[in-house]
Amino acid sequence: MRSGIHLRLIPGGQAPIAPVEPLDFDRVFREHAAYVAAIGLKIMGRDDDLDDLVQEVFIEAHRGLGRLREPGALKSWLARITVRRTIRKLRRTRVLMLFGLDAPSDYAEIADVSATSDERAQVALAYRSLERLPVAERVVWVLRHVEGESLDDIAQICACSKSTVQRWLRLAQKTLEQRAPHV
Amino acid sequence: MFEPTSEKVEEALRHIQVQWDVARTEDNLRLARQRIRRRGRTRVAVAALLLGVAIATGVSYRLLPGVREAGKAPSVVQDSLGHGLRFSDGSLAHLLDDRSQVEVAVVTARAIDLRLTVGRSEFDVVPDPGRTFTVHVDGIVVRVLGTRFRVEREDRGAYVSVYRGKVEVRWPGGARVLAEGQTGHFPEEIAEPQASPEGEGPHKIEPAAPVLSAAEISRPAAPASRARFRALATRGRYAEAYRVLAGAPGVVDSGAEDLMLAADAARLSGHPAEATPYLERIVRKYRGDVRAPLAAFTLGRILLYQLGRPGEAADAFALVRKILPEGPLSSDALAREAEAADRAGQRERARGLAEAYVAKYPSGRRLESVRRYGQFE
Repeated sequence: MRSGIHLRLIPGGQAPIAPVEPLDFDRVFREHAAYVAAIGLKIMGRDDDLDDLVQEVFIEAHRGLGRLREPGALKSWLARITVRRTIRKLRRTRVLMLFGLDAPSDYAEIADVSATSDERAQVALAYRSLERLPVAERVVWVLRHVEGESLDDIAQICACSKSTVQRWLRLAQKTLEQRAPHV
Repeated sequence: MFEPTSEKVEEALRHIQVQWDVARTEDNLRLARQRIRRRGRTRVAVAALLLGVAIATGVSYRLLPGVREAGKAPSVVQDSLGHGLRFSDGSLAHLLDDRSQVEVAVVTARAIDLRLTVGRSEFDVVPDPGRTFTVHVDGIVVRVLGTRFRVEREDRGAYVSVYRGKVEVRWPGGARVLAEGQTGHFPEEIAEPQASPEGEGPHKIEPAAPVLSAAEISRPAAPASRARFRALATRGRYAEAYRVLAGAPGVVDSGAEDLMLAADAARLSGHPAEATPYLERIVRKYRGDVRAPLAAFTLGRILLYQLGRPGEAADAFALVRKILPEGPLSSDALAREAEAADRAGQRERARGLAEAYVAKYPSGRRLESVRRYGQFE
């Protein structure tokens, strides 16, 4: 377009203003932050590191957002990043706890206000049991039994095969049943 | 014995719910943006270093103008919804209502010139040192230095707000650079003061036992301490930033950005009461700033959930809606105001607010809890 040529833009229709960029970072953040936080909370079992996790996930997403060709894949892509970041945090927490640099969490706090005291105790017990699992087994168990994801979706989120997911679930289940703490 | 897949356990696990609301989203979005910008600056510094090394080792800088000359003018298209313009370099002009109009005057490899002829528009400009990006409103010229900003036509001039980066605003007889978070009416000689006089309006917030007085906040500190405070706070090292702040309150200047950093340093290092004077100052002095609604909302949350002062919290949430009635925090602020009023024993106010919420947001996310505050059941 050369200098001096005028293009007048007159918007039509009464549709609500929509962001021009289909994968605008702010919009993606606002629409999916709660989803990312929910997955993070369920896997980690604690709220105190959640804000940092959500920020890290979207900072990583920010770098790849422009390359994402299929907007429909956004949610599972974010879930993959979340799982990867959460695994790192869990491993770091384990090392810190090993050296006494991180206090054990009160898992009962992650139950909502409508939970009974017995349900809170069950939640705490479940997460204390999950601490005994290898991180990968813990993640697939939570995605399956807490988040309610299908085996196919878990395989996609964890970037592994469905049979690997099934194997990890079996191992997790066996460990939980054999080595679960008593109430 | 714990049975991991028993019905009892499954039922209990259904109660794991994340406490995540609009304010927490906005708060984290702001912090994530800060971290992204910081990383961007680091990359730019590294790139600059590499470029310097390349030049020093014999890569001819003369090639660069040649490349630039060969560059094509960016193309421009109207977006599919008809609400803006999209340039091939990634820059955007986004009209904010149906009435607004932008004219494209010049698009070349070296310059993009737009004219805002009616209404309001936001601009998200991809930095390019090889070309200028300017927006004209009558005699006022907004020159972009790589940024996201908004321009609104007014009866006698324009209102400019900068979300990211910097712009230079020129008008016959003056010029001013606006940085991130700053706003202004131009030409400046017709500008009205943005700050509301202290104590004006029905929603006055009295400083509630401020730890730092306004004078203390404004007392200048050594530039080195100030730079250290800003560096720590923007890197998210709030405990260290707060220690610097507590030792020298003057590290915070009176700008909205510094006040927000101070509030973050205080509250995120476990000193919520100390955060309130900073938030109150933002709300009082910078009501036109993009941070003001979030500052009022954060103030309300601290007063309600951490300091146990629900009456004052209700006033803070009311301010959110007063400052930006249809903003992203409005519905949540209304719900929280109802909750705060209920906790403060202001039953009539709580009921009125709950009714307003139900009428305005019939499928709102907090509908159920708001009904409780309004004692509808």
